Amino acid sequence: MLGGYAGKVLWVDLGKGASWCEPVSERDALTWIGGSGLAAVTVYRRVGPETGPLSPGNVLAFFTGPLTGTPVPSSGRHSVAGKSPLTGLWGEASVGGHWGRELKRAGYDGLVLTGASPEPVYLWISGDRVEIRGAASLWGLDTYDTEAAVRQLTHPRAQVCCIGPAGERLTPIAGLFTDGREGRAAGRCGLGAVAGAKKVKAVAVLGGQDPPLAGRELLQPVVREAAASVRARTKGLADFGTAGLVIPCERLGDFPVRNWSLGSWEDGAQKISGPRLAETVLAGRFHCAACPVGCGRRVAVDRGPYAGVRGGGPEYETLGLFGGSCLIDDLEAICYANELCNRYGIDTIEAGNLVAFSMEAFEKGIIGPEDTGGLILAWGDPLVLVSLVTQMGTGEGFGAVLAQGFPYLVRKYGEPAAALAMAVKGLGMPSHDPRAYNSLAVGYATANRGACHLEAFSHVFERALAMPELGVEAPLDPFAVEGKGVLTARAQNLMSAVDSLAVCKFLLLGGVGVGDLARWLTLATGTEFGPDDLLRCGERVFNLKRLFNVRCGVRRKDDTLPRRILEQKRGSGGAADNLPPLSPMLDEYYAFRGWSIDGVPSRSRLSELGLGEFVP
Amino acid sequence: MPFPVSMPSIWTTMLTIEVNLLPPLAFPGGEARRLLELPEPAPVGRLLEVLHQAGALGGYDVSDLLVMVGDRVAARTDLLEAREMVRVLVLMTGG
Repeated sequence: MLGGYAGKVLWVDLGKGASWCEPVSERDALTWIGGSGLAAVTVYRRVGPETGPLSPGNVLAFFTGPLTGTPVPSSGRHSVAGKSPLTGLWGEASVGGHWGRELKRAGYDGLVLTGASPEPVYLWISGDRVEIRGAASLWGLDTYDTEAAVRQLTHPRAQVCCIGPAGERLTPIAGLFTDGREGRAAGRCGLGAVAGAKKVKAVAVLGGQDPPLAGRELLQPVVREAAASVRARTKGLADFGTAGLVIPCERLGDFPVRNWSLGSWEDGAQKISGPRLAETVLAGRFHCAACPVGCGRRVAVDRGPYAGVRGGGPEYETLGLFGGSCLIDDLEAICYANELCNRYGIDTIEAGNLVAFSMEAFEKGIIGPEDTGGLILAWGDPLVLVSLVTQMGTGEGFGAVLAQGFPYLVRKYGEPAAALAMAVKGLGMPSHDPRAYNSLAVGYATANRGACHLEAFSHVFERALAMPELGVEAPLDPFAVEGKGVLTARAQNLMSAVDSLAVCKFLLLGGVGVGDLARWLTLATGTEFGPDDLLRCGERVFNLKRLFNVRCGVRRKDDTLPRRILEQKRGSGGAADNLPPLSPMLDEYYAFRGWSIDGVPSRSRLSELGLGEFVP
Repeated sequence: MPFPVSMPSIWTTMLTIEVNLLPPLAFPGGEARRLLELPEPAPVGRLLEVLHQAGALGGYDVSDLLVMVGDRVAARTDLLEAREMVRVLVLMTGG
């Protein structure tokens, strides 16, 4: 087997109560790398358009990458994938923390769950020992308490991935959580509900061996130098975490304000910013495995109505959607709502969008007090946020209705609600506005999981970052149109490779380039990878996910954006007048990808990528 | 009271601009806003040098910073004009 890989994947059929290992073939490793790529091919081969996301036929695939568990900086991530119960399409979430590294150290490149258990269970994986244990005593616990309880039942150093009560109730905005109180979330796409449908409360892993590396002696000094460089170039993230993005993003018009209807919220942004968080509720910081940056924040609220908050603090995305989008400038309330989401096991991006949507729908009379149980959904009211998030978690009241997600709400409330639903393919928008970066418009429209800034991450090349290997010699004009389709496709290819390596994209902000990643992969595996090989792998992975969606009926009609983003200017701030012209950028994108005008990958392009066996 | 940042000579025209440093940046006294006098012509890059010399950049490198004049992002070579309101902030991206 190539260096860097454990060489096998653990499969668990929960319906039969059986587990077995399947080898990772060298061919699959070279074709899909790992992480997101191996997850994609695993899910594609098992899950068809007829498979219900909550049926036993769906799979839940966890995959590390060949750099996981190595000294490579920020290599502690893993991907979780399956068919999304929220969108009915490709579902994936990438997460940091320590669970992925531990799975690798236990001797597995991945874990695939199939079938469904009749009773609640948790998995205990320690080397070759794989146990499916009853979880009746855990069912109903929140994620923080679940981690503590599972560690008591297994090992104090076990790493635990689990769902909260929201996942148990099959809520389509539920995620999977690791690292206990630090609350690392594979939040997007409702994959926590897939675990809930399989009756899997938690997966505890404990490993003991680092993966074999082909060139450990050569790799170590190279990555040590890279880690120092990354640390030096990501001072802002180290100082303030992703919360440090709030002020610049608000000023640049990249921040959601009042359900994405306004352009500026300067005073409010300062009240919930990274520096304010550092002055008020910061209790410490934490790192994911092998990370030189340490962008995680611990917060503690000691006084007032939200006293008792202790754990991972709100990330930028959470601050944008609970804060700006709901006009809530009470940082302690946001910390509290964030902790509720972490404990119940809910995606904060989805929850924030849904609360902002409900505030505007209430204002416009689409919903009223008769729908909300008398709750007045006023903009800026932190109690509304806290109440609705609590209801989302407990499955009660109007919050439980909201927690069914945008596709359900649009069906329930019709066209007036559709105009306020800030989602793509059913997935709520993260806190970055495509009106501030034209490439984000193409990226959101074409991302396989729905509205996602991470599948392309291209906006970083429109303001801050150059990368000649992608054809970006200097940061681009965010409002330029020509070339943005190509940029987005190239960036998606790179990010698909990054997600398949299962390393953190913040490495790129630290000056790591495609050539560095290829060299690290070469030294880890002992097989020569060049930058073009890596990008080609990424392109292959992205296209396979597209094929998954095409098989589910996705076409150009679905590659679009909320009407508000296409037609309504922000009106003030750094992106006051820009509306992204999606159609010509999409034409350019499809042409570059070798897709038809309707967004279907061509047979010839698929063959060039070695995807001939997947041609529909 | 304008904050003098250089000694004007008899043939140099000075212009006054209002500078707003957004957190975590702040002037050494902790304040966020000051009126600064700069000799004309005053490119943005010169302003950043002045702020750096004044110890207002909190350990951040000049290359980490973003300058906005009104709602417009200014290039390092853009010339500032009298009485303009200039915001300086740490450019973070990604997230």
